[in-house]
Amino acid sequence: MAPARIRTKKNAGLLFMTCDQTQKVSLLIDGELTAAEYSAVEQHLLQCTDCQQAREEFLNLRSELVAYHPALAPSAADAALARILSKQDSPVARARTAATATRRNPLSVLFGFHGFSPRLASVIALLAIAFAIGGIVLLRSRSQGEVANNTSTPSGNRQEVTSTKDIEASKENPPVSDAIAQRRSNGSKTGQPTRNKQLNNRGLKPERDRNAPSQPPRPQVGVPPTYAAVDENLIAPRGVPGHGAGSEMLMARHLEQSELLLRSFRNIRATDGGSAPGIGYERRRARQLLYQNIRLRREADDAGDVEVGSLLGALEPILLDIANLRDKPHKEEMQAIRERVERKNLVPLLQVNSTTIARAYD
Amino acid sequence: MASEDEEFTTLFQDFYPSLCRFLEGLLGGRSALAQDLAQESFLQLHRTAWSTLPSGEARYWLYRVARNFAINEFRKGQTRYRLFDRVVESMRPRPRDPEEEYEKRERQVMLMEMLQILPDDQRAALLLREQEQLSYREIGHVLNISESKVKVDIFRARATLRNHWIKRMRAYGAGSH
Repeated sequence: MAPARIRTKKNAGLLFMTCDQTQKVSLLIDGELTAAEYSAVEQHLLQCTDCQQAREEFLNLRSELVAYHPALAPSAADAALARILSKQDSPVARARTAATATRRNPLSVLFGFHGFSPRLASVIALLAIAFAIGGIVLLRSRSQGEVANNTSTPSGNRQEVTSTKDIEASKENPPVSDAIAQRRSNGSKTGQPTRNKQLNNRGLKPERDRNAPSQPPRPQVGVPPTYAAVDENLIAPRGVPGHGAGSEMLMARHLEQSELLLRSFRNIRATDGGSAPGIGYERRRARQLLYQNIRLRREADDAGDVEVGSLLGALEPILLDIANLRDKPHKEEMQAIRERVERKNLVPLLQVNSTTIARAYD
Repeated sequence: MASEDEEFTTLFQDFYPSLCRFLEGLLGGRSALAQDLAQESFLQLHRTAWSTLPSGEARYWLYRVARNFAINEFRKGQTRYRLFDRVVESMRPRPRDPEEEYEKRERQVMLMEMLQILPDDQRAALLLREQEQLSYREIGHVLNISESKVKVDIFRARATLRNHWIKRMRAYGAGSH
């Protein structure tokens, strides 16, 4: 790699020392470098404080963006889904239709032909608008009530459209490891789906595990979901049909992202006091990948793919341990995890498998 | 038909929150509008393309369509909150933990505002990378641009936000003391 050049740039009142390798740092944190480029940029990072600072700030920005979660009302989402599946117009389309209808309102014609006084015209217009709004609200509430209670099927069987459970924000939730132990003790190899499909307009009831809850829990409105609050049942059920090439690419991406996480974790340097810098990003990432890993491992087991299943099985406890670390762990704790990763030879295995799968389905 | 509806339901449950989040980032945090457009995107998918899209393609189709809806909103001149959005935002329940959650919420509001500084392409590319973890190739596929442009857009977006974020956090820190 060519030696880096340092430029001084004033940008809107802030003085930045910008290294011309900073763009490579952006590619590095996205995992878009080749192995050779990756090594070169890593070496550069050991020497360039500007790029180290850029890396940290890019990752902080990423944390902020990832942490942003919209507050979604579960009932509104369920109503929207019901509307879509029953092929009704969305609120946006209805608003357009209502706007068009207003322009053709016969009252506007009446004003023109009969010459009402402005005061009377404005009163009539206000009354008309008030009636229209009241009528729309009434119709919406009725139609939502009908959708919520809509159970008619050709066979006449009644079936609930929605039945949501809320996770209470104040409820004590088990740590991730207990949730996984609970799943294992429930005999997860039975192949029964744990999420109930909500809508089925043919009246066919999906098979479900009797011990599974009827509905995956949903986060409470206004409370951003946290990984500690996520229940086991939010992991996709077994037997969910894959999409062929789509699911294989998902597997390839998961292996690639896990490899990048382990590399990033390996490269974290301890501070002078003996503890690691904050690893909040790595912990959050490990939690995300852990849930995905569990799902993919089940699918691999179901498909009889022993090699991928055992790789994911070897990866899973590592992700779990990283996710459960404190934000500033001791270097011994991190070193123990690094040694396990090295013993299992995980990084090269993940790299080889992700590349192989991606090429096969590219 | 039943299995298609089940697959669609699964897709909706998996990606509706993500799509809302993506749209909120594009629209500067306008939650109600983002949800409307997300629902419209799924409706269009179900009506027009669901039965014809190759497997695995639906997600990219949704992001592409949602982004086009967002661009249409900008072109209509919707550069300020609609009245309904303002009411909804003011009525959003505030967290009971005063200090930490309030500061977190404030940072997120600042972040949504700062995203509006970016050009559309850079904003969309950055959100798809950071929040949806799409690869550069997938982002190029969704936004119909080359991978090289994706690389440049994402880097420029990060460089711009890095500068503004530092300035705002300094100002925020100074103001809160």
